[in-house]
This record gives sequence, C-alpha cells and structure tokens, in this order.
Amino acid sequence: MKTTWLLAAAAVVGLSARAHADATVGKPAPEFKAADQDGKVHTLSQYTGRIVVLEWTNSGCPFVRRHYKAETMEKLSAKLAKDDVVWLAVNSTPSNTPADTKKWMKDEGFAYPTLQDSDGKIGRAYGAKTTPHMFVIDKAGTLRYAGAIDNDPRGKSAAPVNHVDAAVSALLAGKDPPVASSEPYGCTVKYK
Amino acid sequence: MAFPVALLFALAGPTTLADGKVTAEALADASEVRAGDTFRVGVLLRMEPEWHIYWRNPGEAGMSTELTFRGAAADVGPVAWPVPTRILSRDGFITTYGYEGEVLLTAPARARAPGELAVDVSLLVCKVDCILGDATLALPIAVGAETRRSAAAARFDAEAARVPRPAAGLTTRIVPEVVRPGEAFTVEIEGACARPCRPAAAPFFPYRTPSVDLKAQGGRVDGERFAVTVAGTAGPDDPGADQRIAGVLAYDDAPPLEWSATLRRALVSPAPAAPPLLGLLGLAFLGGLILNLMPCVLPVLAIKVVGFARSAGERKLAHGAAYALGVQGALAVAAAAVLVLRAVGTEVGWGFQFQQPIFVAVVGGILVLLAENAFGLFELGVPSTGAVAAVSRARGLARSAGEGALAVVLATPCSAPFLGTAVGVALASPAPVVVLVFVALGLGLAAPFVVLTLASGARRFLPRPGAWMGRLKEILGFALLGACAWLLWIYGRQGGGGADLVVVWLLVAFGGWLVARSRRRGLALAAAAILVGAWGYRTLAPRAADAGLSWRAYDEGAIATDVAAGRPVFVDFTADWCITCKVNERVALDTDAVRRKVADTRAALYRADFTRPDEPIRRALARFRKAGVPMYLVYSPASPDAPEVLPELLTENRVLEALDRASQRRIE
Repeated sequence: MKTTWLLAAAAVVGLSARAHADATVGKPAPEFKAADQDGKVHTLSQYTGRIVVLEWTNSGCPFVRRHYKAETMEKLSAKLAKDDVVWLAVNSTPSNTPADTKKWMKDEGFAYPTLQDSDGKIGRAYGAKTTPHMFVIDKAGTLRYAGAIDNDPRGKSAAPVNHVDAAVSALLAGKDPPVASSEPYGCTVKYK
Repeated sequence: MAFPVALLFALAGPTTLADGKVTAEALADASEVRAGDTFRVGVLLRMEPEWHIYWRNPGEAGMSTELTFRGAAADVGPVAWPVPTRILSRDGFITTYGYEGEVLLTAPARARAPGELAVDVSLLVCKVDCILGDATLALPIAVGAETRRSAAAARFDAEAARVPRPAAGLTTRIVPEVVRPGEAFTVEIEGACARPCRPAAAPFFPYRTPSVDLKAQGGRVDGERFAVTVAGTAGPDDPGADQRIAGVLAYDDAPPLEWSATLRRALVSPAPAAPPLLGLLGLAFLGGLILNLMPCVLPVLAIKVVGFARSAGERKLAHGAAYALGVQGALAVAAAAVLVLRAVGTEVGWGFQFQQPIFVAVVGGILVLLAENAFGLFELGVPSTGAVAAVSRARGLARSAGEGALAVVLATPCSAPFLGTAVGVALASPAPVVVLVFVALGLGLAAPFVVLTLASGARRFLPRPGAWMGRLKEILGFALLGACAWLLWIYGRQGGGGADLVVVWLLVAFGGWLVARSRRRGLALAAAAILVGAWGYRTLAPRAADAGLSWRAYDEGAIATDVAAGRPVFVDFTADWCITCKVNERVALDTDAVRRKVADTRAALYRADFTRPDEPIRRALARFRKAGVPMYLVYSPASPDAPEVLPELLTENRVLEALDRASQRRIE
C-alpha cells in the first residue's frame, strides 16, 4: 500500500479536473437542445425537478424491435409517467426523418417524443453506443444510471430485471439506484 | 458396430441463418471416436462479405455469439475463442470485437454413447444494420472401436493456433494500485517472447468484467520484450470485492496469450452512508448538555441559576426562552460560518466528503489539536470582555438573550472540541443537516438553564463545580483521539496505508505542543517546523509509481540487451532510506522535461532498489567505487561498457544532457 499524500492530492485534483468524453454516472448529465418529430424543442434543463429517462432508439434494430414487440418501453414509460417521470427517446440514426419517427410511433402506438439527433450530437455527448442504450437523470440533473434496459440481451429470460425501472423506482423512493451502470447491448448507434 | 455413418452425416451439413447472412455447420475433428476419448466439436460460421459476428466480449455494442451443445452423445466443455478482430464504427466512436469472413468456434468433448448432439446457435450479425440469428444444428457422434481423425481435423488444428493459451511470466502493473468506483486506471503488461514478436495493431482484447471497462492503448516492443498498455475505467457501482480482469494479447507473428490479473478495488467506506439523522441530532443535543458541565460553563451557570431564581419572579418562561434564543443565535452564526466556509472551499475545488483522503486527514489533524486542548496543553480563548460589559448593561429579556449568547462565547474554550467535531461532521452533510445539528447542540446547551429556572426545586440536582470537571474534560480528550482512530480506519478502507497519516498528525500534534510551550516565539517556530516536516514528508513519502516514467527492476542482462538494441539506458541506484535519492528523484528525474526526453530518446529506465541488501546491486556499486546509493549511470549504445556516472547531487539539466549525449552518439 503506497497511497501517499501526493496520490491523495492527485486524486482530489484529478477528480475535479478529469474531463470525460462520455457522460459519467454521478456527474451532471450533459445539457441538450433538440427538436422532436413535431419540431417541438426540448432541453434537459427545462425538466429540472423531474426525473428524465433517455432511450436511444432505431426502429431498424432487431433489439429495439424485440423490446417494442414486448412493449417494454411503452409499458414502463406509461407506468413511470404516473410519477411525473419524463421519457424521451433519442434517434441518432442519420437516415432517420421525423416522418419515419411518426410512422414508427403510429405502428407501435406510443406517444412520448423522439428527439431527432441525426447529427449524433446528443449521442456523442452521452456516449450512447447501442440501441437501446438507457440513461436515467435525477431531479437535480445528475446522471444516475447508464446502460442496458435489462439484464437479458438475448430476450430469453423468463423474468428479466429491468435496470431502468429499478433505478427510477429507487430515485423516487429517495434511494440510490441498486445498479448504477451496466453493459448496454444491441446494435451500434449508426453515427454519421 | 457398423453405423450408417454416411446417413448420419447427411442429416448435418450447412444451415443458413440471419436472413442468409451466416452459414453455420456443426463439425467434429473425429469421424469416429472411442467412448471416453476426448475430441473436438465445433461450429464453422461463414459470414457474407463485410458482415461480422461477435466475440465472447462483443465490446461496446453488439451481442456475443452463443453455442449450446445438448445431448447425451458427449460431454462438451467451454467454447475456445480464437483471437477476434477489432471493428470500429465508421466514426471510430464505438469499438466492438468480432469475426469477419469465417471462424470455427470449437469446444473440447468426451464421447459417451453413439447418438447426436444438438447445437443451438444464437448470434447477431452486423454490417451497418444488424440481424439476429438463431438455429439448431445436428452433429452426429459416431462412437466406435477407435478414434479416427475426420476431414475437418486439419481445420480444427489451424483454428487452435489462434486460440490464446494462458501466459506465464508476464508482469502487470496497475496504477493506481487500488481503484475506486468511477476511477480511471492504467494497466501495463510486460513480458518476453520466445523469439522476437510484434504486438498486433490491436494488441489487446479484454474479457468482460462487470462494471469495468478495458480498452487497449497500444503496444511497444523492445527486442524480445514487449509492453502493452490498457486504459481502464471502473464503473460507478461498488463491486464489494477485488476483481479478476483478463484478456487476450495478440501478436502479428506469435501465438496469442491469455492474460489475467487482480484488480484491487477500494471498498466505499461506510462513513459516507451518513449516520442516521436522528442519531446525529441526539448526539448533538447530548453534546450540548455535556457542555454545561465544562469548567468554564458550570460555575457561571450555577451562579446565574441561583441569582435568577431569587429575583426573576413570574416571567421565568419568557426569560428561559430568551436565554435559549440567545444560545441559538450565537450558534446560528457558527453554522453560517461553516456553510460559508464550505461554499468557498467547494468553489476552489476542495472536497468535503469522508471519501476524500485529504478531508479525512485535515479533520483528523483538527481533532488532534482539540485533544491537546482537552488535555490542558493550551487554552483556546475568545476576547469576551466587551461582550460581558454589553450584556451586563442590558436589562430584562434582552439580558437573558445576551446571557444565552454569552454562554456560547464563554463556553468556547472548553466547547471547542464539541463544536469542532460538530463542524467536522457538518462539513460533510447537506446544509439543512448542518443547521439542524447546531440547533440540537444549542437546545442541549440551553436545556439545563431553562429547566432549572422553571423548576427551582431541580436546583438540588445541579452538580457542584469542582476539580472533577477538569478530569471530565481530559477524558473527553481521549474520545477525540478515538475519533482519530476511526478516521484512520476509514482512510485504510480507502486504500491508504495509514502510516503517512499518522506521521502528518504527529507533526500537527508537535506543532501544537511547540506553540503551547513557548507562547510568542513558538508560534513562528511551530509554523516553520510543521512546514519543514510536511515538505520532508512529501519528499520522502513513497511515491505513486512516478506517473509517466516506467522503471524496470535492475537487471544487468536486460540492460545489456537494451543497449545492444541501440537504446540509451538510465539506471537509478536508490533506496527508500536514502534522502538524497528521494530528493533527486523528485527534483531531477520525475519532471515533465525528463519524461519528454525519455520518450524522445526512447531511453530505457532501470531502478536498482538497495533498500534491502542486494548482492548484484552491491557489486555494481563497488565496480564504480561507490559504497552506497545514490548512483546514476547512463549507458550509451556507442560505448556499452563505459556508462557515464552522473553526480550524486543531480540536477534536471544534467539528466537531460546525459540522455542527449547517450542518444546522439548512436545517431552519428
């Protein structure tokens, strides 16, 4: 054990000075400003005081399709909406258009907005790697969970643990998320 | 035993899955196998051009390929994964690991009875879009009198060469040694190849470890030695135990190796989980009560209560409340001071949390001083003459309120330990908690007075002032030292050694003692002593692995190899007990300029640690007529047998010049 004063000092300095490309759990979530499929502009700061869930999505990805077929996102967002939780989908696929999103919304029957991030700005700021890739931001704007929607990449588990549900429920109860990060799974986000 | 082998094989054969992007075929390396013999089974996967499937760790996206062997014909072991290729997304933002073209995933098997194995294949195949694929393949197992190689056996052998074997003789260095949740770290893996080997462009493929992210940074090769650097990040979750990290080292011209190491994880100390609020407030209230028993408060309180009970008449409740308010007012000032201090401190980047080693050290230092105060080494005074005069001029309720405030001021000399501790806890708590702690403390301080004024009969229970008050104060001093022991424990849990912390606290205690011994001159002296001590400690303290400079252990053979390979070599003969060595390392070696120069000249660095007696190092010192350390040698490829000996009092410039000379001769 060679931890020393210098190391301690370095750790203190390092913690405050470390610049990270990706959003870091426990740190303020990156601010964003983007229009949804209807042209309505959303910013993170406008939702201060409410828990925000970000869902990276791509209607062409089989993992996203599987979850929409099982209504994972629709059911959870409806449940959490009762507790005033904001659910925003984000589509960073360059070829995706607002019309595509509207059609997908109609086909799948969900109503929460999808931010049109064709240039991948929000995706890169958050370090979104997969679809789906989930982020949970608390009422103070701090990122509290980043990772997979659940612990079942192959969709074969009888009782998958939904990490986002667990994280938001814990935050609503004034507790820390039981799991603060997990390996996201799915298709790569198709950045330009 | 004539099995219709041809018929059985006819059932197998290639199957397509994932929209025809992948063709899968189950194979065995034996056309016939004796029961009990081991052989290999596998699945040959062929991808359409530009499409890829994923390795056991898919990387930042994707999904690993999964094979499940079912059936009683054979027992099948874990899949052996050949080295994958690194696949970057178009913009390089996402790294995944997988296979393009074709790959044979194999598994060892032991034959049991004639029959068939069913192989479930589950995979994701991607180009830009991704397609999930599932299939179940049939693999007939012909169990017979002897084991015979099949036509596919050569393919199995070829793939086996790409499967990593456990590596021996690798050295791994992880900085920092103990990793906290959310912290970044680097892993340096060094080793030797049997013959010259070159790390591949992607030299490292990490296995997946929960909550740990590993990414290859690059590889270096140096004769028959190689080094691979891996950047790691620990996730925000506390794993609760050390973790095994592992991966594959890949070479252009040598078989891959499987590497693993233990990642030491700092357990999050239980302290930040914050003592329950109610308990904290109860303690603060109790602390306030005990303050009444302090030698500087109790006599005043006793006189005041007696006098007050005789004269005050019927407005006792109002006077009691005014007194309590006065106490609260004075403490509110203290609470505000704490909050302002914290706001200012946070602004300049101090961390007021028990997770911060520095914070733990400073709080402990303050506790040590307060303990000295409790032992009567020195008194903490507040100039209160003016305040006393002002209060005695006041009349009525204002006077009671003033007396309450004065009680806090008067109590300062002996209450400092309590206030100090409360401040320490308060600094690490949210603002409302800070205020509540001080309110509870004030209520405790005011309670006896209020009770005594209301129920004059209770006066009989007021203890008589006496020498016992001094004893009590001294005993409380030990409680403060106990708190230091607790902080030391926290520090240890954070991955700190603790010895360094004790040294610093000793310095603080020594400074306090000096001040107490010789009032005036002592102050300057103590400050100087503490500064010098702290500087000395900084210099002598074991350092955090000279961030940036990678030293190798002294090895004459390795040095000769490096010099022969055309690299300048710098050798540092040092020891932990050698002050000159440590000073030199700090001022002349571990500097940015030297780091740059080492990188520019590709110099190899060796450290000969003479802390404990070491025969080869002693002989080397003797060869250059030195009785001990420090000694600095710079080898130049131009004159491998005559290294330059640098002076014992080293300067940065001497090091830079020597490295220049050593490398220039090589170029000329």
